[in-house]
Amino acid sequence: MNLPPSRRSDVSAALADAPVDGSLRLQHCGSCGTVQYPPRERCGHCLADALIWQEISGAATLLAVSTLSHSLEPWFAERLPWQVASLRLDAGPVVFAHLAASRAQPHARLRVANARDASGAWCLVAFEGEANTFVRQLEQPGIWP
Amino acid sequence: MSTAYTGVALAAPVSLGYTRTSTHAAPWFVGGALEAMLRQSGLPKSAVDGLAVGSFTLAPDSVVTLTQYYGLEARFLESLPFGGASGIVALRRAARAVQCGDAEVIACIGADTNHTEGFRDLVANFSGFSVDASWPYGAAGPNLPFSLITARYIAETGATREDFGRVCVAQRANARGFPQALFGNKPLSMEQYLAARQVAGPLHLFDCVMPCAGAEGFLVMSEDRARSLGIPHARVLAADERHNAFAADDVQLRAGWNAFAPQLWERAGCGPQDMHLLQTYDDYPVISMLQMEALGFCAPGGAPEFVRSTVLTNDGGGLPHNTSGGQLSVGQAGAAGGFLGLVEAIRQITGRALGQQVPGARRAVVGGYGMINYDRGLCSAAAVLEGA
Ligand SMILES: [Zn+2]
Repeated sequence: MNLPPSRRSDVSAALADAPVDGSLRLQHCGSCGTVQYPPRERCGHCLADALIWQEISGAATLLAVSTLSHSLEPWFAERLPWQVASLRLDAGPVVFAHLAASRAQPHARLRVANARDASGAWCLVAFEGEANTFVRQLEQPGIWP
Repeated sequence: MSTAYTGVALAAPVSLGYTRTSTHAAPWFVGGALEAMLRQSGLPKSAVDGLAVGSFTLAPDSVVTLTQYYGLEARFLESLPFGGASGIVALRRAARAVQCGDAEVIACIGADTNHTEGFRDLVANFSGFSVDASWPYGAAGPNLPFSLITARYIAETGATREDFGRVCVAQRANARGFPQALFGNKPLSMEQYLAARQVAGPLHLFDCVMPCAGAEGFLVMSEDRARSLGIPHARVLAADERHNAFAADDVQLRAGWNAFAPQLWERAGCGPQDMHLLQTYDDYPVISMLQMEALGFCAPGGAPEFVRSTVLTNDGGGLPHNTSGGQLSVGQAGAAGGFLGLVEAIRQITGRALGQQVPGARRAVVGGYGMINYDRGLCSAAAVLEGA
């Protein structure tokens, strides 16, 4: 059976256990407070290695949307078109996320949450509304994942 | 103000081995470039005492093991992990080594093979950030970040598909007659460009380069040496590079060129209006347009209007752009793509084009751009060259 790419870096292992309830857990520097993404072993601002995984605000501004019409990955190829977005989190970093809010335009205010893709590996999802709308979406097969 | 590249010559430009896929390993391509440069310059192998190589597919070999492979005794070795900026970075490193006497003749080569499954492996393992934050989302490597950059560029500038098409269609016309261009015999009309299938968001088929195998290279030596050999050569009026510039920008609509372009032209002693041709790094047409803006051919956000009002073909009397067809028409041979524009510029401004010669071309500016890590390309470089 085809699945999305399941490989992730060792440094992101903590995200494998992040709750999937509409909240967002990312790396936070215990020394300077910077929230960073993608995960790494040192703070990209102050270079300290005192990094903590903690819940942060998922509030974000949509930067751009890409609707994929082609994929080298069979799992995605069977589900095209597929929407992915880049977003600026209020907490700081830019993230790529699967886009559940399909009609959102740049500058829209969305939320980003941890999720698991069909391979069971961690991923990020962007959606409209509050955490409970995301949880309800997860319960409806066919929307996500 | 950094020291000028006085007394340095770029010579023996070569492009070879372009094929869709290859069963040869990368050292076959690097060695082919070296062989061709020796033949073109008339130098014996023993005269080459420096080697700078950019290649994604060289492992388990390296620039060090290549010395034994080719029987070279070197006193200058440089490995170039700069992707599409590799050629200009090689030029900068090699030029300083020659100026300072650390080496006399340095072969600068970008080369990659492409096995059948090679591209998927390359993009899947491109960098740690990409593994976590880009590859899981389903797009083929850089298609995701560049579709997002292109979408945002359209939203901010009003660029249309025809504008990107103008870049791609003109380059395809320029590729005609260039022997290494994999699409050199396949004309592209605006109608065909617009009718192509969608790949990711605003990116359609002809906006994306085709991965392939191939090699590019040139020699760096002193101008005295080039003159005594009696070989055509180019001078470096100015060159610069910048990595991870404007890191706080939401979307990469400018890059290192924007940071160094004013000083680049000041050092070169000339400006965009003095250039006879422009070679941009063209993994996607939006990146070529960002270079037109950053290097001062038009204002920021002005490239859509610029490509509407400027003839970009070799024979049109405007600004010949990517005169051998660029990667969009030749193919993207890994790190060789970071040499392609530079090598073609050396040929053009020494009057030795393999395809369509731009009449009277003496000066060129070349852009480099490389290493798409997650959401943006980290390396930017540019060089202003003049035929000797
Ligand atoms: Zn810190």
